[in-house]
Amino acid sequence: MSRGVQVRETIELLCKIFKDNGMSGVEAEALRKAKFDKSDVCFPLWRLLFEMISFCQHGLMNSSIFTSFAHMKTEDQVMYVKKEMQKRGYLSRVFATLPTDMSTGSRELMLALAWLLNKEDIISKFMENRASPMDDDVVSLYESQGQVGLYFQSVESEEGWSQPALGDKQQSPAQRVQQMLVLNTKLKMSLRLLHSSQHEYATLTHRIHNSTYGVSLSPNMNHLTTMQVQMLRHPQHMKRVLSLLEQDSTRLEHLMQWDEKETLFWEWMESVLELKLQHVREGGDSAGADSDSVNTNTCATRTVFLEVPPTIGSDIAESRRNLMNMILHYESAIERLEDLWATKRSTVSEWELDKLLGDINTEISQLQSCLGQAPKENTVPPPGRPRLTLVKNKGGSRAPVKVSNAVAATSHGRDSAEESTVSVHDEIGRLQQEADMLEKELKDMRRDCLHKLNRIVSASPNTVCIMPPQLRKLCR
Amino acid sequence: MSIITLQLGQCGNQVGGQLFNAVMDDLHASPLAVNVPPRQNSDYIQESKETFFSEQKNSSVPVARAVMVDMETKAITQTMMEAKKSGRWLYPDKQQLHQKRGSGNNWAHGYCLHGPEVRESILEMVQQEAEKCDRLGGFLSLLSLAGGTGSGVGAYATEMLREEFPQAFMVNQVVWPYKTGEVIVQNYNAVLTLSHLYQTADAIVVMENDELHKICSQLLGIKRISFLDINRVICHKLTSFLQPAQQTHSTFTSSTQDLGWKLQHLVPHPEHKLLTIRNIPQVSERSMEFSTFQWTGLLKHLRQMLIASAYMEEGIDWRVKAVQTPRGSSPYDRSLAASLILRGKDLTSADPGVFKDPALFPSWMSPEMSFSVSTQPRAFYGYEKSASLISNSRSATRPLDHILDKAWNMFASRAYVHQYVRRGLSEEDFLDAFVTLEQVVSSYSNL
Repeated sequence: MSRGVQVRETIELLCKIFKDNGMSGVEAEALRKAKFDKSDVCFPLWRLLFEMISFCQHGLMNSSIFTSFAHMKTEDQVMYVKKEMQKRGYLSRVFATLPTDMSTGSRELMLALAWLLNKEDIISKFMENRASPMDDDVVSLYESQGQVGLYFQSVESEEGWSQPALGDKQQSPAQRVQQMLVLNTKLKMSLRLLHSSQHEYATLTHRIHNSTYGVSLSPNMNHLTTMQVQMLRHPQHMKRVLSLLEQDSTRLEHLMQWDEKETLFWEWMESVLELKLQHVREGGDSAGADSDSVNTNTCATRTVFLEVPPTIGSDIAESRRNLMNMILHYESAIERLEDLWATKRSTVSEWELDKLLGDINTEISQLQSCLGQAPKENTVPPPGRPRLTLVKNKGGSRAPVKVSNAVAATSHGRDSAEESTVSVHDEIGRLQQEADMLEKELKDMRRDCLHKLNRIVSASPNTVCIMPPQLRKLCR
Repeated sequence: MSIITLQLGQCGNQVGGQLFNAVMDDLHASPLAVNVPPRQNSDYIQESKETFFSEQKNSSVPVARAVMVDMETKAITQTMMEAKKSGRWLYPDKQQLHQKRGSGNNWAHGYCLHGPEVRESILEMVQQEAEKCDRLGGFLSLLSLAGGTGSGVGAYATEMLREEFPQAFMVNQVVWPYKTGEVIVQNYNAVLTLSHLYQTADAIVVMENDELHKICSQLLGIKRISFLDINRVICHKLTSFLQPAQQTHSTFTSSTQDLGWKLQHLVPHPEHKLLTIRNIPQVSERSMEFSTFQWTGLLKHLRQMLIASAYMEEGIDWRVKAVQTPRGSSPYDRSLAASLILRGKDLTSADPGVFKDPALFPSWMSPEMSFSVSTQPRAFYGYEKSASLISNSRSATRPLDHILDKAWNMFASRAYVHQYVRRGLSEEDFLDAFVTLEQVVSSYSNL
């Protein structure tokens, strides 16, 4: 069956894609066995799910993901995956009842995998993760990733750097205050170090851009980037970069092929789902009915993993009561409104109707947000590192120009008119304004705190408050 | 990483001259004596040069990153002459500020009168130096506490630099005067300077003239001790702290040699900023040929020096132990944080475990956070093994205590206060200063 062959190819392509992007490999055979619910392929599927979830959370595959997976016990791994899937909305009861020793349930896992693939649009995320080092200013792109892994390992394995006993009950408040002071100052000093590093980075980059002005390897800039200069100085590194780029292009090729063959995969998944439903209809729980007493659907003998707050029973009862009270309360108001509505209907104009509709819509959306739908996780995207490009004006004065990295990544290859370039001076002005505003806020907050402190001190008879002279000026 | 040195007053300028001399001596040490392969040697030299000197465009003689300030001309011209004579380094032109009037050993004269006058010029000179640096590691100010210029103008300059460079790290190296000092009002000067420095500087490295004198006479065997010898000892200590050394557990080697990194380890608490440096061994040149040292012995002595508040390896009180009395008070010297720098060969045999004793540090700091070790295989100052311990400990407050007492006694009878009030201070400023320093002494005693 050529169709069967095509399906097989598609599945193999998917496995290749997973491997390309750093996940531990899954055999195509394993995925197909999962369709038929074979039990020996459960472990690789759990592992793959774990890695996909970690990928979604962190944005890239890291050696720490593998080490943390290896360190977790089987139960913990299963619990973690179940919890994360539920957080993302996969509320399948059967999935939640899969056994924690990873013995059965590969078909369910396959379904969960496909669901996650689609929901989090992992393929697109893979696509965004490409590297194009030659246009970057950061030279140690590949070396630093390895070092970062090493740093984490050394920090964990060292006996030192265990945190001081924060929150240790034996510490008196005075000691806790001292600890907080220490950590605060350390933080401030680290920020200063960061500041000087950034300063150094900008100075050195400017120097390189300046000295290579006039020569360029790409149409958007008029000078070489740091990376390009590094390559020119050490041509032996070019081989390595070349091999990395080749890897990258094969990865992208696979992703493009996937684009074309995707539909086959989803049709195959439909067949998996069909098979499962068929199985269920034939009377057996697809998770395997081992125990004799599974005659019930209440899963009394199986543990369902679902994270609910412990007060859910009382919460539900209370909400019900509140709802009933509200209905009773507003019943009379509702009747009046209905009468009004009947009388108004005959006399209302179309324009008024539209306006009313608009108002109602806005109110509804406001109330909806107040109802507290599941709060989205605080996924503030990390601010893209600005890319610095040197542009010399015709007047001879230099105006280094800033390109926002996020925009540059997506508009790579398109014309540069779409990139948002900002002159550094404007950017500095804008940041200065923000800084001034924050400073004012800080001063106000400080003054409030000082007033509170003064009130407390004047209230307690046996204390004397000695303020450092700088703060005294603020108080006046 | 570059450090800009600010030399203030007569003492500051002399110490500064010696400091750059000492660095140059270290860098020009014979390659055979240093114990490391040439490539490592040249890396070390490169790094150290980058920290303290900048390159000149026309000649190969490196130029110190220093700004010199004094109200009299003698010290500055002398120091510059000596630098030129050595032929190995120079002071930059036009980075000196000197006037003819002097400050008369009056802190108020320096702070209230001279300070604002010279503010613009000092700032400009410092900005020029800062622009030459790729990466400004911090400022090192050298001053003495007794005089008028170093202390008064020094306090003013530190405040001014803090306003202009809020992100920079500032280390002040101060010299306590002799207990039986020559200047009557040295206690007032010391108290006022220190209280002002405490607000603005990040760390204050304290050197006592009395202790340095003892080191010179007992360890180094110098008969007639001049300020030159004392300054040499000061610079020995400073260079052992500031010269490159790597932290053992780190992959980010360059950033841990930053002054800022060292400071965030040593002075993480805003109330504890006083640092002391202890070196071991310190022997005269004559005995250096005949002495060999072992790491275990050196480290044991160093630890006892720390606990018993000693600054020399002779005359240490070995009876002091790191044990609390049954009532809970600790009769030994506790530290907030300490940093050990080992220089020399056989570093693997050196075991700093004696310092990782939780009794030495307060209970709310974990011993790992309070103690760090850096190593440098290149031999230092001709010693095949040398160690220096920089600690933020109670011993720094002993001289402070004495001086506070004396100054308070004088203030109680308002002796000489009118000299200060006439120049712009008020009695409230005095009181503020006393209060700040009492607070410092009490927080150290609570360690």
